[in-house]
Amino acid sequence: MDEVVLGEQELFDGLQAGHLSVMLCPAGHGFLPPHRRCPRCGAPADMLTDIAPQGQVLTHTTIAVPTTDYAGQTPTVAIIEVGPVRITARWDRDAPPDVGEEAHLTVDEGPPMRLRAAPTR
Amino acid sequence: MQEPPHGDSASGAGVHILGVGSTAFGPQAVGSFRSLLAEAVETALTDAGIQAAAVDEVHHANFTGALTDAQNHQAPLVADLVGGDVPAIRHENACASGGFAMWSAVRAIRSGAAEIVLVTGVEHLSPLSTGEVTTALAMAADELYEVRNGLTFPGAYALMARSYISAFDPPEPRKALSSIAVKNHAHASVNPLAHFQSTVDLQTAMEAPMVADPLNLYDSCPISDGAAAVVLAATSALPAGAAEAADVRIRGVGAASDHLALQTRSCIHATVATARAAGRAFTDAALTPEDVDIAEVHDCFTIAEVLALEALGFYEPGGALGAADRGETAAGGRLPTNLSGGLKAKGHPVGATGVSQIAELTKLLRGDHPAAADIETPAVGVAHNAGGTVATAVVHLLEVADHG
Repeated sequence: MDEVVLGEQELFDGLQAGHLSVMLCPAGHGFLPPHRRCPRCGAPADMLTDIAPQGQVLTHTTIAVPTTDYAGQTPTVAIIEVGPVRITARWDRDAPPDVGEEAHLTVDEGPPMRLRAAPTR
Repeated sequence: MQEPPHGDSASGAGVHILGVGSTAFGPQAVGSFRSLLAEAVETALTDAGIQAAAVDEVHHANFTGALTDAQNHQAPLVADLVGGDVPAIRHENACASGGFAMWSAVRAIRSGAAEIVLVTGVEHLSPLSTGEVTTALAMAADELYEVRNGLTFPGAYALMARSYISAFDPPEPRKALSSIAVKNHAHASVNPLAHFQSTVDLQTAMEAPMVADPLNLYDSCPISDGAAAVVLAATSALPAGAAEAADVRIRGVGAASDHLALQTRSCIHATVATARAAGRAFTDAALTPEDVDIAEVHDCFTIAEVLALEALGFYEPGGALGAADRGETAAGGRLPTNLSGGLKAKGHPVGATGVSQIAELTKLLRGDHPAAADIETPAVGVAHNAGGTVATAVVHLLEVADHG
């Protein structure tokens, strides 16, 4: 079998094209680049799949004391469950999401490439 | 052949805590990181009653020296403090750097490679602004997937806190979290080395401004300077007369890792690395959580104390949030936790924290800690030190053999 390799740039390129590229190990664990082996079980990736970049908000926070990159802002950050993976992104709205809210992922032009999420509706 | 006592190596090298030292922790400690280190080392050597030349190895912990003092490669500076050419190494595992320096030192003694080891930790955050400290501490999280998207270190714990509260739907979570702050401030108020020397009332803690919702200012540890040092010795190297004093021994150690980014974990609020490290430490020591009398756990945020108490095996998942409110983890409770004040109120000079936990626990077990008068004489204590959002965790089980 050919080795399945996915770099982080391909992840960002995929999101700009409207899909999320995810690797799967034989046990079905999904994971994101640049891993080559499953971070849960250590098995090599044996499948690459493109899925719709949308899912549900698992948790979120609005940050009043930011890093220097975000000086003067109060970014909201959320973890979104998208199929077999979860992904962390800046919430692209002033109002924070609800846990369970449907969201879709996009990516900023870099560098650095930054992940964003917004309500699906 | 007789089995060695638990916590000892096959070669029979038990690990004893010969001496401890710590500077006062605070918002702007007097002096440079070098002078903080020198003070902690001198105090520990004096407490140990040994000559500096007796030290065989140095294990040093620091997280942000490159940013705060333009100084990496700090280990030889610590070797200088004992006048030696001994091997010295700096350990960096974010907030768990100190605990992993301890863990490595214990293994050096157990292996037979060293008999007397100096463990140090220091952090000197006061040269940085709050924004710069926030940026520096965020380097403990995942840059690619978390930090560049706006996440901070308090923000990461806030994600865990909201996940925990969503999963367990506890009554009055705000009050339960703030009760932890109130307890740890009360503990710190009798510790002259603590960053905060004052108590806080529940209403003030509950109504503090948000840092990263749902965590507010009083849910968060302060930005502290400070240093700590511990001298460890193999049984074979105990000085004459050491048996007369209270003998605090490291009975078990355990360490583990988890995925760096929260998003990679199967449960965002379960601190699996703590559970695995604790399992290894309790097995190493042939003890169970029921044997533990006092705990120093990694409470960088109030929610972190909750997650630690559950993962260490003292509470079921979802059960520890109300422990402080019920009085169970206060000085008079069934498991006094963070009698030093914890990271929350004693302070969190990152690299020093894991070493300081051992120093505080040693004094509590020896009976010469200011809080020792407030508790029944303990026999076994646990120290729990975590890196980042508990992507690294290390657990030490200490016991006192003799109160002299």
